[in-house]
Amino acid sequence: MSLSFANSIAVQSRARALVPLCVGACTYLFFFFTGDTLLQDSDSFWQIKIGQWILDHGAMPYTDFYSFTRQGDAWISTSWLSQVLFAFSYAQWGWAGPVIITAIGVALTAAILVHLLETQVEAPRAVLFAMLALVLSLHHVLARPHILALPVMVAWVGLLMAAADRRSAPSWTWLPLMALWANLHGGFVLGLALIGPISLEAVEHAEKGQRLRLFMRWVLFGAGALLASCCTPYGWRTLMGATNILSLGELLSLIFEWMPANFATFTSFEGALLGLIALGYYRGLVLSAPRIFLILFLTWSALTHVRSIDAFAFLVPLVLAKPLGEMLPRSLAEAAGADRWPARTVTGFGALMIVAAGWTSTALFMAHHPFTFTMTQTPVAAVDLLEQRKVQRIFNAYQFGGYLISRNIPVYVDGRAELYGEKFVMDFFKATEGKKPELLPRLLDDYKIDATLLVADAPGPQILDQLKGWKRIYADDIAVIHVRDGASAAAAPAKP
Amino acid sequence: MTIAASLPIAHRQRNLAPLCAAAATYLLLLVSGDGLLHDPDTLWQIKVGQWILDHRAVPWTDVYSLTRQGDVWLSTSWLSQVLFAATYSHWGWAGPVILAATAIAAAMGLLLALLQRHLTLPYALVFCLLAMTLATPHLLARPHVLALPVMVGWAGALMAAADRGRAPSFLLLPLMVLWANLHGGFVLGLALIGAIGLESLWRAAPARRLALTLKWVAFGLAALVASCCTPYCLDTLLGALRILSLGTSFAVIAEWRPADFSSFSPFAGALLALLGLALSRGLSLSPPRVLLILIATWMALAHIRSIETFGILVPLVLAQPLGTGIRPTASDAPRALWMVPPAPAALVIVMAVASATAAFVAHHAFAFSATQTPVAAVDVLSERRGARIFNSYGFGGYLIVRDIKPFVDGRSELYGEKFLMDYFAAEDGRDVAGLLRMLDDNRIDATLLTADSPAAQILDHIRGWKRLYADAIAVIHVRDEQQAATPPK
Repeated sequence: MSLSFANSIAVQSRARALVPLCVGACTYLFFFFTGDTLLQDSDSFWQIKIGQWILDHGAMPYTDFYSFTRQGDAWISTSWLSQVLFAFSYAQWGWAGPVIITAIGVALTAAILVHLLETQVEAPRAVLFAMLALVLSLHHVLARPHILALPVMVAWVGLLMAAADRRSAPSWTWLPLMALWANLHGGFVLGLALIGPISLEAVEHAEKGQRLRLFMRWVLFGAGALLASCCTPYGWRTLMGATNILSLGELLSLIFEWMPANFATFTSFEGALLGLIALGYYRGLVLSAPRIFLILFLTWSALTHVRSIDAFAFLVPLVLAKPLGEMLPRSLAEAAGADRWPARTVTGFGALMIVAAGWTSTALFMAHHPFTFTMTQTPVAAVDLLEQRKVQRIFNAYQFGGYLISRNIPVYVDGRAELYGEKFVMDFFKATEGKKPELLPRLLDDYKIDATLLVADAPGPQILDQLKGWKRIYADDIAVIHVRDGASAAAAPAKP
Repeated sequence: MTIAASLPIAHRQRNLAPLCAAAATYLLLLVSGDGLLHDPDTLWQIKVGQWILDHRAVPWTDVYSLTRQGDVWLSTSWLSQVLFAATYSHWGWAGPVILAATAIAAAMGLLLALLQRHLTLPYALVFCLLAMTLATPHLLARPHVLALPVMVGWAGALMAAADRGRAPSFLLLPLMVLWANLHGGFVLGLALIGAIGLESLWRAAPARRLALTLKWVAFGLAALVASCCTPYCLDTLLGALRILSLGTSFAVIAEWRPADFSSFSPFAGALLALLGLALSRGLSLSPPRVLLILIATWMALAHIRSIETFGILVPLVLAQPLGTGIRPTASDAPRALWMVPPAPAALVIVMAVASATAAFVAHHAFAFSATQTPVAAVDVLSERRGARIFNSYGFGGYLIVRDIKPFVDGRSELYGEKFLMDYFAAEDGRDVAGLLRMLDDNRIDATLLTADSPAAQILDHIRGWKRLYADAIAVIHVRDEQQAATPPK
């Protein structure tokens, strides 16, 4: 009796491996079929461009060579591996390549999350948490490096939490994960920062005599992770590059993904926040202090920066899993009907089927659906005109920078805010968003601008219409071009 | 026996704490009284109050603005305005300061007294301080502050009824009448009846639920009727609801903006603390209470001005469940034996506060914050009589006081959503063409804009306008006939 019971649990646990796989496959197919929505951030352009450069030259960029305002300044690419992956897949399959890679990244994240949660809570709840996390991060799923780093983040925090739950230190064999993260995306700093509070969680639950030893092991692991994060072509400069981005100050409030969460309308994040409060007050959860700190830290990051909502969505379930699992006793009834011998075969066979089905539907869909970058925000016609006129120095809108780089036109500014620095980009925004219109003519003269390429419905073009010495030569729904008006500029000094 | 004897004394000793807290709050606000006087809305509120006092009637249409002259406008807080105007005419700016400080102090004392029914003094004080800190940015000499003690009393009385699983007494209804005359926020009080009524039903035995439901419904209807006991009768409700229907323009008016987390604020701290409390104490609240907390949180996230409601409502909701864990103990009873009887002590406190007020007011002249008031600029403008002026939103109140008709002022419900959205787009420099159209359509002669306003900088570059005056506060542009006459090249 007890033997068969033990067996059925083993069978169940083997069959359970299929659940994450199914979730992963569904996620992959969903994001693959809606792939065009992943291609709407102009940052994707320069990410691929840099990846191609790295592939072509077999070397890393140390200085900037895409802008005319910061040409030759120090700049390192903190997500070179992602860029190479994007560029490689783009070269092979066109835009379908980045879409597939992004979809795989999200799918892996969901699958790993479900797998990690399943050890603590029942499968349906684990899937529910994964779905919630996906809904929360939906607006930030774009063909860009942070998505490739997402599965690494979930796996890293998952294994740290698992070690804390076991009251031991994480295994050193996981350090390559940190090295991978550091090469994929600058967000690995979060992974380093989380070692601290999670180690406290492990130490708090350890037995009295063990505490110091355990803590020292965690400290060693942290040092090891720090070293691992420097295993990139840039060495220790990786850390500097990643922290540079965090020092942008006021500017972060203007770039959409760094903005604080906005509650003017009801968002899924607001729902999640209220849901978390309700869960706490309704279920009578009691968490340990380090876990509460982790949750508050993640909530605070998500409140201050929209882009941290991803981390909130995927990591809060991991922190909550164990206390929730202890509160909701798992029913073992589902295991009763499981057959014993075919389980392993069924699992293997099922996995094979799922992968095969995923691959064939990918191939079929790719064959008749050409993925295209969402061009409603891309100034193609305007840039064609600028190329015809052989204009050299273009004052471009922030979001057009990526596209200009892909057309081999030097830019005034683009998405690499850490390259340009806080003051430069703030001045740019103040001048073009109408906050300080008087700055605009000064910037145009200081940088000897020949033409401007600005967003159609922004205040910048309207101000230029009123400025002497500039005339509008082109406008469509996306962009407006102004060039220097030789005649009136010459006549202007004659006026008092 | 000794314990039984000491308990009533301990109880009476506790009753002194709210009065002390109120006195401390009052004195603090009085000393920092100029902080209450920096909202331009205060200016037109007093002006409207004076109008009501002079005419012995409440206004039904707008008489102050350039653009909405004669349109329907109800003053949903006429009683507060009258109180402010009366105190202002008697004591100058000290009057509104004392009035506002008294109201806030009363609210704090009342909140402390209500919380003390379930919590020990230190915990109740912590919640009170938190509520005060959260409300601080919004503590201004304006009608909503006078409605604050009414809100605390109303919410507290309803929660007390719900804690006991009963329906609230009909004796509460005059409170609603007072609230409806003081401020348009009374709609919240009506809404709370429903939410708190649910909690009461949740606690009641199933057999009693039907009877209790009927009682709460009757109370709700009576409160609705009570809220119409104003000079405007039924229109009060409509007036208050008009403010809530402003939609997207909320995002641009400071106090209606959603909560901002770009830097750490007391509200962010309170929100995280609320979450931390939920996860650490193992509290298990009834669903209606959870709902109340979520509604208060949601409102505060959506509009900064609801943060004070959050600060008051959440402690009241949490007090009873928290109190079962942190029950007032009898341990401080022996100390109570040395306490003086409350009535003389209360008298002493009131006397002390009154004399302190008299002494402070005698040598301190309260003044409306002049750093945001364009006094010199308006002097220049008033020389050009009859000019039609386009003003920054914040200058509207001051223009009304100077008997100049503003283009727009703080009465957003009068101007309506579309007008305000167009106005802010033009004033923020987001819509240059719209700005010029607005100036021409309304035959504007001069603009009075804040010194850092994008519109003012844009007008520097526009043909047909010239800068007439500028200081650190305001900039004046007027039409430049000469330049406009020469055709542009």
